[in-house]
Amino acid sequence: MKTKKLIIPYLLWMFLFTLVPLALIISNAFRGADGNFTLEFFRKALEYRSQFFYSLWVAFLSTSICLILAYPLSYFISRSSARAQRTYTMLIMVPMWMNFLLRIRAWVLLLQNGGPVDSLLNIFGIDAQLMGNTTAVVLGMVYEFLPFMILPLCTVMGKIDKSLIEAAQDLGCSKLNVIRKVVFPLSVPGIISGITMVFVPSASTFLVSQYLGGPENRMIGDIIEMLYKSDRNTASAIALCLMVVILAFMVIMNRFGDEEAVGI
Amino acid sequence: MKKLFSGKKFYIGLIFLFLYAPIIVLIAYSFNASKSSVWSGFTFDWYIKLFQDRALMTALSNTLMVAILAAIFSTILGTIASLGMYNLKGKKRKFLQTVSNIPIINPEIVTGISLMLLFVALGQVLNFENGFVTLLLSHIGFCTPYVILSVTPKIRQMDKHLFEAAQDLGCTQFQAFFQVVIHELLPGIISGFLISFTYSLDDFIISFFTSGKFQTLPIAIYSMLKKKVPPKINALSAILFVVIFSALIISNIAGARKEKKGIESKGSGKKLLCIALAVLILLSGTLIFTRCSSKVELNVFNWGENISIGEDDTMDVIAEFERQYNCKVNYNNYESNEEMYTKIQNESYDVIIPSDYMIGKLIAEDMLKPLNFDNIPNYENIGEAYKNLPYDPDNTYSVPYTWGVVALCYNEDMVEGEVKGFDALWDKELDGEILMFNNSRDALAIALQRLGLDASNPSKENIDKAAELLKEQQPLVQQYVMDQVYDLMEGNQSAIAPYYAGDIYFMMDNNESLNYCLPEEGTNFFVDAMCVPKNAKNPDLAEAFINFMLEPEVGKANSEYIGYASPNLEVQKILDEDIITNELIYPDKEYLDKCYMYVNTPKDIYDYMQEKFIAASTN
Repeated sequence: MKTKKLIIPYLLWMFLFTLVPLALIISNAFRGADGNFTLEFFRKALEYRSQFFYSLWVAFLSTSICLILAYPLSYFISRSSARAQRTYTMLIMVPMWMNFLLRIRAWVLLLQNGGPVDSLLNIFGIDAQLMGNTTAVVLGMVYEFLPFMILPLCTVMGKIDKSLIEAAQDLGCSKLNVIRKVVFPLSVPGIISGITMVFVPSASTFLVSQYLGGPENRMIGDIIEMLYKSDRNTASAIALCLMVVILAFMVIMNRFGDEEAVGI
Repeated sequence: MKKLFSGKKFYIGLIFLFLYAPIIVLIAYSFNASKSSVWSGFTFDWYIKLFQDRALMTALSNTLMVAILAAIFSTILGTIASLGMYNLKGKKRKFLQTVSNIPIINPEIVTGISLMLLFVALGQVLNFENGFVTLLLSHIGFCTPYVILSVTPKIRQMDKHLFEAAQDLGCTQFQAFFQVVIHELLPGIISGFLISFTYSLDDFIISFFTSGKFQTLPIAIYSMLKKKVPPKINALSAILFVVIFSALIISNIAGARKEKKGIESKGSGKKLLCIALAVLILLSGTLIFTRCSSKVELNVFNWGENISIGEDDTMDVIAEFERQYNCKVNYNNYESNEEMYTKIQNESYDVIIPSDYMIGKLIAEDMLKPLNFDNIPNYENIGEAYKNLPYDPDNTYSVPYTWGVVALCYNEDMVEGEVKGFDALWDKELDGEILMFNNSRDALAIALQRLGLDASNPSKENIDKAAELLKEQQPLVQQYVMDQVYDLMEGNQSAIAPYYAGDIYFMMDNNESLNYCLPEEGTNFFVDAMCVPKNAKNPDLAEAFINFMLEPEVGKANSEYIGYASPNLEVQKILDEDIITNELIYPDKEYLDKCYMYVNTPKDIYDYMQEKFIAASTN
């Protein structure tokens, strides 16, 4: 397929709407009020390193949980009929069409002291503070981004040739081995898409921790948001650091993915 | 086998419960009789109020239009791009994929502001203002990478020789592409479309900075963050949900029927899809077209939830003004002074309503137009106490709209002993039940006051001391809040919180255990005032609008809706006795003499406050 030329419109697009704005951010991060090069803003950005690493940690937890929850679900869905698949996909997307802020606030109502979840746990004698901690923040993230793990997984798994699985079973593969040796390797591209689509936004999003977390749970997205109103330079510097770390992470992910893909 | 089957159903059920539980809560609260998060009876009121809110309905149609168009364009762009990218070799491809993902990685606010800068620069060269087109472009920008992420795995799975095989079998290139390749990729394309639609539908931050005066639903909702998001928004979500859900069920039933009859549904499905898309695009086009009106336009930029919109037979202030002056008002909202400040740098508004210190800043930066008070005869209704205030000493640029004080709201069942002043916010007995402002200026002012230092225009040295005090308070703080204060206080989740008097009044209305305290040491006295920016296109009509807002009946409607005090003596005369004698909303002169106002602080001090507050409230 000679379709290299197809990339041209997107190249132009990326240049104008991704690279030019990126250049603006870089210039913000390195250029002081006097217009000269400075590292002052990166020095200031360092003050927020604990929130920075905390955000990556939360993103890591959220992504892992999303993957664990989504994988079996996507497998079940991809084994159902085409029509059921379509319905499931829509059912997964619909909650996301409600306003994000309202959904997070609904979680606040669910988790608050004396709220439904708290009352339920009290029946079993569990008295826990459900809000204002990392668990609540991760829950919010998982809720927010789970569909973005499920969808690429479903897409990829739906494409796996059913006869491959049958063949493996006929050749005496156990159920677990079918998944491990056939389904899993074939679903790697979906896993990678899913991880990227969950990890990246959950590391940089804001408001979730503001509503579900306490003061210790502030994330780097919230900090950038607060800083940007007054100090664009430092906010740009933090954003740039975040970008570099996540890009590095993605390059590694992609490499891993490519090797797997070659092995198929 | 049977057992596994039920386990599977149970698992799917659990996940869907997780996904839908908040939606159920959200819909349930659209029927809540009170505005509070505490259940207080069943009502359909919010559904009626929803349809009375014209701005919200416009915002809704704007949102749907942008989401549909953005999803269509980004799906096309993204699919083409992923095909092109796949055919590139290793390093090049990796590089492009990385660049392509930048919009996903970047915190939205950074993307938003950088795009705004870009559009403003382009706009100056090509002579356009931010609006529908720039908003659409930015949405396509952040949706396309998601399309690429969901189409690429499909391309990897596709047999590389499929395209050639199709051609060998007699397909033209065109046919091979559309009938074979696209067909293979369709599931990926569809999920890319859905993801784009979803993201576009709910995007707030990027939209805020690139939308100009084109307001979408999330912008309207987030601009209410200082006050409280009213349940009519829940009602709107509930309606959307029901519509989408019934559409799903209908299409599902139709699909089942076709399958039964054995009709080959693929071809007709595609045609239907094409027709549906064409209709949607046409509809969006006509919607935009009808928006263009030949009437004189007035651009008003105000806080969210800060004007009477005609609920329950009250006055719809904007509609009334439009009728009397035969003009069209573009009414937009913001959530903080700082956001407004960023936006008016590049867009022209006729009337803005900033707070005191921000007015001082705008005057200092020569961004406001001196008012012609001959056009504002109703200015004489304003009480002397609210004229010539420190932010605008000769009262040349502003006309007060609302005012109030920062007070304490506390739960009588949770706080033992008497609350006298801000000291209570450092009370160790209330560990984990204290709320604090999530905004540097108000939080630091309280700390400065407690230290007996000047809170209206602090020095860096004093800010350091105040930040130290906030740091001391931090372990006791449950949360740093803005609008969440409503849910937390009304739901008995927190014991005490500082907030604005008018809002505390509403909270007390929803929870009988709540009481207020005017801090004995005095507090911040704030004013929001109407101003006309220097680059206003229609200053005469702007002054007419300001004059209109000072009409007693208009002022009364606004004051009752907002809950903040009115500086208008004619309004004070006709307001309810209960409100005008309420010490919280209208503190007496003796108390106000103990209060102070914020003034415009130099930028470096302001930045310093922000930085210190974040550090003190985080670490």
